[in-house]
Amino acid sequence: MIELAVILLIAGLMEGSLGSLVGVGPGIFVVPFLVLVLAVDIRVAVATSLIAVIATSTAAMSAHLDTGLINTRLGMALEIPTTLGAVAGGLVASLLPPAVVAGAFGVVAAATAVLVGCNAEPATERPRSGHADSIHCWEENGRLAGAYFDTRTGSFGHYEVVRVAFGSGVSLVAGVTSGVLGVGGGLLKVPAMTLGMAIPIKVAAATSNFMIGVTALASIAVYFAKGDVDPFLAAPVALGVLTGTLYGSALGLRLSGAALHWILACALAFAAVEMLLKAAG
Amino acid sequence: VAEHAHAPGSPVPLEPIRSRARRRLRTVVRAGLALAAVLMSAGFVVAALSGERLARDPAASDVPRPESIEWLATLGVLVLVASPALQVLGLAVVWIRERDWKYVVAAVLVLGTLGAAVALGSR
Repeated sequence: MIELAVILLIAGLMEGSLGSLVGVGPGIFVVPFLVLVLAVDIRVAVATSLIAVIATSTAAMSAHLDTGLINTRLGMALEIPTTLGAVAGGLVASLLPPAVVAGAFGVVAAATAVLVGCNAEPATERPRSGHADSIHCWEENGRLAGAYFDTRTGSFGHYEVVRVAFGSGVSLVAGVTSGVLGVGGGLLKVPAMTLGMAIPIKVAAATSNFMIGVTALASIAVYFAKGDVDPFLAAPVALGVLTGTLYGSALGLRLSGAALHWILACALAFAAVEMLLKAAG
Repeated sequence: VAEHAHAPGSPVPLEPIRSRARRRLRTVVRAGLALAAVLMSAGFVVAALSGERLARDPAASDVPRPESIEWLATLGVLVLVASPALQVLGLAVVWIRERDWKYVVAAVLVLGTLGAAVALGSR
């Protein structure tokens, strides 16, 4: 029992560090690890993964709430279509063939990985000076804009969110995918935020970390109701993920935007392969 | 409300501007996280230790069985799972204090959707 706990704790630690770095959550690593390495039932693995996602989200929120990296207004605005999509996805999950959804997700993730890799040094990453009088707790009151202090470059960055309708559309699709497959929230939203909405990747990753927990909460009730949550499996994974997220969040502050883009591209490629294999049966 | 005001055009401070409401929210989130971690750790450690002792001495009736303290780990998981809803609620309170009503409505909408999801999922 102790050996298994240690394995789960270490796995959670690594998955939490990686997932929180770029805001995609540990889900894409937890499910294959539990199913393929430890031969855990898929529903129990997905339930454990959702709890790990909530652990990542809460730890990231705790670490970043006052650093200015999480734009809570942006997160809440995008969470409306995401949770609606997650609920709709959960309701139509039995009608949609999972292989088709997984295949479509795999293709989109692969294309996004290439797109993210090709845009590894976006203009939005270069911070410019802002005026403190226009900034309210690192978010502008009533608007989707804000500022953050980049500890790596030692400079202060200001950004304004554009194409909110586009981001909302992607969030809706991400919610549906999350409801059907149990993954997809951060993987689709972080690229949408960085490439489509002009948000610096550090802000996008931290904001996504906040959002994925809320989306996972919308899906977890059904697993609790059906008795798929195994606390002795979920507890060590969650504890490992909590610690890993705190480390990943601190590490993310020190890495460059380009490095984070490449890590995100690799995570997307990993998810694309995983989903295409799932689609192929 | 920002606690450190700066004159227009003045150099941007390198320390974060923090509101009291956000600091309180951060404290609540950290307290919930710590409580969940303690409960999950305690549940698992007691289960693991009691399991070992039971294996050595199956007749020991005073040693709690892992099943009997499963509730401790489950409680820890439940506290953790409740935290995103608490965060949304806490942000709604922050925005009420900041009189940013648009985002108060957004938070209420998200909480309503979460409530519907939990109700649908539990059926």
